[in-house]
Parts: sequence; structure tokens; C-alpha cells
Amino acid sequence: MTTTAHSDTQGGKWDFESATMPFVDGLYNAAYRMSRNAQDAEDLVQEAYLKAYKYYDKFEEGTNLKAWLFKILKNTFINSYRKKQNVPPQADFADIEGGFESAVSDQAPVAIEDPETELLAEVLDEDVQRALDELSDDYRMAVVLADLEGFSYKEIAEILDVPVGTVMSRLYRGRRKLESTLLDYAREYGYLREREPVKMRTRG
Amino acid sequence: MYLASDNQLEDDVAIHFEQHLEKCPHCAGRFQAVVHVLTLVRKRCRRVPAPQGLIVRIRQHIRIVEEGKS
Repeated sequence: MTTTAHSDTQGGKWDFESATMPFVDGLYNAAYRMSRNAQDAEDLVQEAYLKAYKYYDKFEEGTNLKAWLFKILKNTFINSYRKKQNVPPQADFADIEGGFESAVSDQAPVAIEDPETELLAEVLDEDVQRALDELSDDYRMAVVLADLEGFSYKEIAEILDVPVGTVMSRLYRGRRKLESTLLDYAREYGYLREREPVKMRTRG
Repeated sequence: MYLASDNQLEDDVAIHFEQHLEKCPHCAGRFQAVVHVLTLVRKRCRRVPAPQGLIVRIRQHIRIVEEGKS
């Protein structure tokens, strides 16, 4: 090597690492949530970083670097990981059925009333993770980006390459599913008895 | 509900929504449940930190790519 690869004349490549490394934990967390496997998550993040490095000169300075990196991670997950796993692409019901309005109107309410809120407090951390793991890829990705990584609807739309309405629909459906799964767990453990108000519980 | 819990409602809609919640115990209860589930997911779903050494391995990969180019 005659010159350093990271000279400051390289159109911004020189600062790739300092700019992108602060996001490594968030990217890893999302990759782990998507693949549900530590080794796969690490491979996904490494591959995403290499792609990001390769295309870093295409990144427009001043735009959202974090969202850009998550978008690369999402594409890596879909293109490499799903193919490698030979998983058929999941039908995207949210896209088939249309936008948020239809999602809201066509879903039977889960009928959660106020008293049930308190028993959800007894659900364990592991249960929250298990419920999240049970969501389909599309819903889980939307929930992870919104609720674990704190992205706005607009940013998630950008990352997932879908309209904002689809993001809202996926979040709505994903969260409703989470909610009902958590309530199922609660019932399973006897925190909640079927059709019996929580205040009727007797304890000791 | 979820829009409100994400603070993504327009201001005037948000005010209208809050006024409704004050008058309607059913929606107030439902909204409380929604916020509770979101809080559960946000607070209690542990973030999985990147393993030690991942950053080093990423850097090594980038070096290999760079050296391959020159």
C-alpha cells in the first residue's frame, strides 16, 4: 500500500467507522430479534457493515445515517438470510389487504378491559421476548424498529421500503398480536382466569 | 389508540381524543391497556448487546476489503 486507505480525500470513507460504529449495538439487537440466533445476528451485522462500507459514498451526507444502516441490514436479512434458510417469503397480509383503515376495521377486537392491564404486569420478561419471537417477520421488524429502536413511522417506511400506511398497519397488527399472546400466557399461568374479572382473584 | 400512544396524532385530534377519554371509561381502559403493552415491550424486552469483539471483526473485514482493492 502506497497511500493510506483512509486518507481524508476519500469522499468521506475515512470517517466511515467513527460515523457508523455507534449504531453497532442497535443493529445487532435488531439482527438478533430478526434471526433469533446470536451467530446469525453477528453474520448479518458484519455483512451489512461491509455493504454499507462499499456504498458509503452513495450515502447522502446530512440524511439519516441510522435509518440508512438499518435499511441495509433489512435488505441483508431478506436477501441473504431468508434465502440461506430456504424460508419461503411470508405472505404479507398487511400489503394484500390494504392500508391501516382496513386493518383496523376488519380485525375482531381482542376485548381487553381495564382490569386485565394489571395482570399483564405479571407477565415475565422472557414472555415478552417469546411473544415478539412468535410474530411474523414483517410484523416483528416493524415492532422492533418502532418499540425497541425508537424509529418514527416515516423512518420505518423508509427502512422497509413501504408506505407509511403499511407501517401503521403492520404495527397495529403486530402489537395486537403481541397483546393477545401476552394475555394467553397470563391465562396459561393462571394470572387470569377465563371470563373472570381479575378483582375476583383470591390470594392467600 | 396506537397513534395516540406513539404521540403521532395531530394536535387538534390529540386534544379531542383526550377529551373523549375523560368521558368514556371503556376507551380510557382500552387506552391504558395499549400503553401498558407498549411499555412492557419497550422496557422489559432486553436489548441484546453486540458481542465483544464484533467491532474488531468488522474492522478486520473492512481492512481485508481495502487491501483487496489496492
